[in-house]
Amino acid sequence: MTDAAIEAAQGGHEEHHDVKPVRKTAMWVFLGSEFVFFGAMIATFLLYRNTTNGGPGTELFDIPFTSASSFVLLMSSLTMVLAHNAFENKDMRQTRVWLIATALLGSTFLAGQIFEFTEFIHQGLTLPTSPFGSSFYMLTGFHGIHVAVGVMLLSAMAILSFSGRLYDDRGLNVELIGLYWHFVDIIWIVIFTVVYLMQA
Amino acid sequence: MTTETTEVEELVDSAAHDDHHDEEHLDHPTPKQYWLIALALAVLTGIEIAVPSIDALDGPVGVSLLFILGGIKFGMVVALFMHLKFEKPLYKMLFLVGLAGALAMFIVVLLTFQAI
Amino acid sequence: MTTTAADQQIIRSPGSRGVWAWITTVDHKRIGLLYAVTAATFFFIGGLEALLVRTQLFGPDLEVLSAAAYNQLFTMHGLTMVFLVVMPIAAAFTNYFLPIMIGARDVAFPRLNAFSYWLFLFSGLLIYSSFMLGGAPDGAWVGYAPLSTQLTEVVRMDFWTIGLSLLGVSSIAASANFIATAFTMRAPGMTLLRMPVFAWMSLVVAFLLIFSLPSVAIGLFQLFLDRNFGALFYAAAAGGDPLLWQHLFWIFGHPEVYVLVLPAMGIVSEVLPTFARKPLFGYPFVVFAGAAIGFVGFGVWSHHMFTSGMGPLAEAGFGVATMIIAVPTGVKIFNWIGTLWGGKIKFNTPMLFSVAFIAMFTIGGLSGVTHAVVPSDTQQHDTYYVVAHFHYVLFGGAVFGYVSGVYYWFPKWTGRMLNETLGKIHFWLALIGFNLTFGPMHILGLNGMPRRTYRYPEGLGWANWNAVATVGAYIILVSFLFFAWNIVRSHFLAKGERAGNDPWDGRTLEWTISSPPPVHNFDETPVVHALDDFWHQKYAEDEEGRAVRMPAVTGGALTVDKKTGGEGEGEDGEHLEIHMPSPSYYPVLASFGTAVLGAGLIYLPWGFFAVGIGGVLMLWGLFGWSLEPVTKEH
Repeated sequence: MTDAAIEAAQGGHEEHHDVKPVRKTAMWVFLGSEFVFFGAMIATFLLYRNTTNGGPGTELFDIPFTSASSFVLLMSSLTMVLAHNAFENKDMRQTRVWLIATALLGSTFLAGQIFEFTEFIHQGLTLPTSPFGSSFYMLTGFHGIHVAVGVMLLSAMAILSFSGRLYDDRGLNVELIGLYWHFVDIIWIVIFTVVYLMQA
Repeated sequence: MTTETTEVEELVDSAAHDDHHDEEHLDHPTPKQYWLIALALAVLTGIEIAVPSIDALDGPVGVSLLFILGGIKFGMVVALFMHLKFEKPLYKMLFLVGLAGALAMFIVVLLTFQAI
Repeated sequence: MTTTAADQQIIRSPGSRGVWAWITTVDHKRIGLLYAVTAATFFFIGGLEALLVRTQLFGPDLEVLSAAAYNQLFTMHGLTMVFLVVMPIAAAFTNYFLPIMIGARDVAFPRLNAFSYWLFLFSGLLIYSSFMLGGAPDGAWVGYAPLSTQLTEVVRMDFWTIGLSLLGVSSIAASANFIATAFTMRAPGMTLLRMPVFAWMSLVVAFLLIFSLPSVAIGLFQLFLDRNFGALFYAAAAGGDPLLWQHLFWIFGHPEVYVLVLPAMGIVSEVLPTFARKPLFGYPFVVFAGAAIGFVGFGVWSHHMFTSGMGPLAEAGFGVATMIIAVPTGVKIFNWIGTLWGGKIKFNTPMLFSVAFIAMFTIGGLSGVTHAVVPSDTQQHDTYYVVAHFHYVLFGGAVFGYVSGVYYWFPKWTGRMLNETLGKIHFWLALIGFNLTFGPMHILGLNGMPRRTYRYPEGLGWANWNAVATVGAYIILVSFLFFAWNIVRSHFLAKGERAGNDPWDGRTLEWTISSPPPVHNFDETPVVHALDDFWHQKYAEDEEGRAVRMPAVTGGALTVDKKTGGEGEGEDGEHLEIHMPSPSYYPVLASFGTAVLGAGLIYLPWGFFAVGIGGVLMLWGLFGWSLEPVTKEH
């Protein structure tokens, strides 16, 4: 029984240590916990969905507009998975193309959110207007922050791919960011259904 | 001593082999399949958007339909894009426990407020 | 039997000494010691806060403290003990021993580990800085709205909101780290059901934290928005509901108390078998009971809200769920008794504290059962009966368990034994002082004395027991001074008896390596064949089932006693080819930036500058961290 063989399985030697399951485990832990995070905000919204304190309520929603931006975010999951696929095939150029596409679609979604929020503010719905306003902005705001962080990470990876520093086994990798990005997408699927479609 | 060595070697081999096995033999959808999945998601979204504007579906029927459609989209992204269908049980457990736990706890909270 | 310390040669490389080495360390053992020392310091501070509270309550109508000061002191006492003492001491033990117990060389993410520690330290310092910046948080450690949404000129509950949020980040990061470690870094043959119970409890606690912390995080963010941005989450006048806060807080708060006690139960499960010289009775039951306590613990949170008007259905449901938790708890207690039964028991200090844990925790558990019954809880709520209950489970329980762990593992950390005589004085004084302090509180509570009030009038019959409780508190102080002296004397004054690898004739892997262990833990990764594998390597059983000592095994993990120091510079790398993760300053930079960002949020709007600076430092730290290799080449 050679030491090297044990080390290879155990991970005592850096180059032989398979870090993928280690990092993936940590990412799934994080995603599992994020359900409780968003769950709390969605529950708060559902509690306050009619507590408008005399201010505007769900009549402000522009379902066609939000549907369009939801569609954009949904398609960004496609580009994300194509980026991962390209990376697995070691095609750095394709990876880069799809990463940038994902970041662009995500940014488009964010632009839509910002436009929507600005509209609502003009029509009298702000954070301090009512519990409805507070919970709406907090839920969609936190989701937006998650999208923004994702766009930032996607851009960073696209840049790293230029200098050949996008590794499979070190630091940020395409698969992990993909998991995060898809998660942000499925949370929006829930928010879109529960906040927008159900109240319409 | 040799039997112990072989036993240990098997332990180590199987541990190392499992990981490789997972990585090499996972079923990855092809890019073409990914596009088809995205098309299905788009169609489902289109149906969802239509539901609120159909008067006949007002009330609990419409809400249930929205949940079902949303649930299918959710499931497809998780199982296929996030690959969870083909991943090891630990990841499935982390995901499902978080999801189920959050659902259970917050449904209870909303029930105590009689908000649902 | 064991190699003596005189045989050990301690060779440290130049890079492993000094303040900078400790600031940039990513070694789980050093991080564990940092957690322990910090927790011990906060323990004394939290204890002093308690003593001030008890002094004020010594007699009726005293004015030792003003009401305002009193509110800050009991708030900070609770906050300190829960978040800055007990959680970190559990983290200290988990950090040090989880990797070793599973046969690994470090945790899954050594730099994230360091980040968690530094963020904890900076958050604690941030919260305590409030004393000098107008006053500490004073809304109780649970911060109920709408009291906590009140803005005052001077005292800022935002120290509490932001401080707890930062601590939560530290804990979630650590939990993800430990889960990844336990699931991906076990040595060959170390199946989950061969892990020591302490390792199991650490794992269960990590799951509790990742699924409970996000709830209080949202509650805290909502509270922060209410206080600073005019949001209306808890504003009743606008239709908001303060009860929402209670739900979000206790969905975290209840699993939190199991976070506090389960690692201590794990320690007891290690100590009892060692000093009864018997295996743990019913290992799988103890493990599954621990997991069950964790799981059911998510379903009982509203038993803290029985007087909030939820209605009989909710109250009945949560009451029954709370009673159900007593079952797995009882299973553990019976298994511990079963472990002691028929054993060759040595009542040294670690054993005394572990046995006392069982007794004190049981008493606390019994008062807990009376809380599960809604009508009796309705009288007990917000009285000293509750204070008695939770101190019995948290102090007589958890703290005694962690103290037992210190006495047990001190030789492993330092290579020296703690003095038994001083230890026994500590134990008896602590046990007597503890019961004098908190025993009478059951009576005070049943006689109607409310919590969280800074004085009580004459003539209510509360004065005598309060005086007894205060005397008890001072006895506790004296007992812990003996403890502190014992530690200083043994380690810092180097007067403790030298310890070898295995001073207690233990059962688990940490006793196979030197005291203190080398930076890489194991020269060769152990291969595990059974539960308590080390014990089975030392002892076989004869025909009558008695343990028979085996001849010493040469080579491999058993006789490793050469301390080969070096912080990952690979000093002994030429010979053993082990590359340990290199030290890094990015974790401390990133955590410092995060803390500065938090501090800026407390003092909005001009705090935006700090938010910006903190954010930049944090991002610099995070990016540097993700781009640097884990082990630096040279």
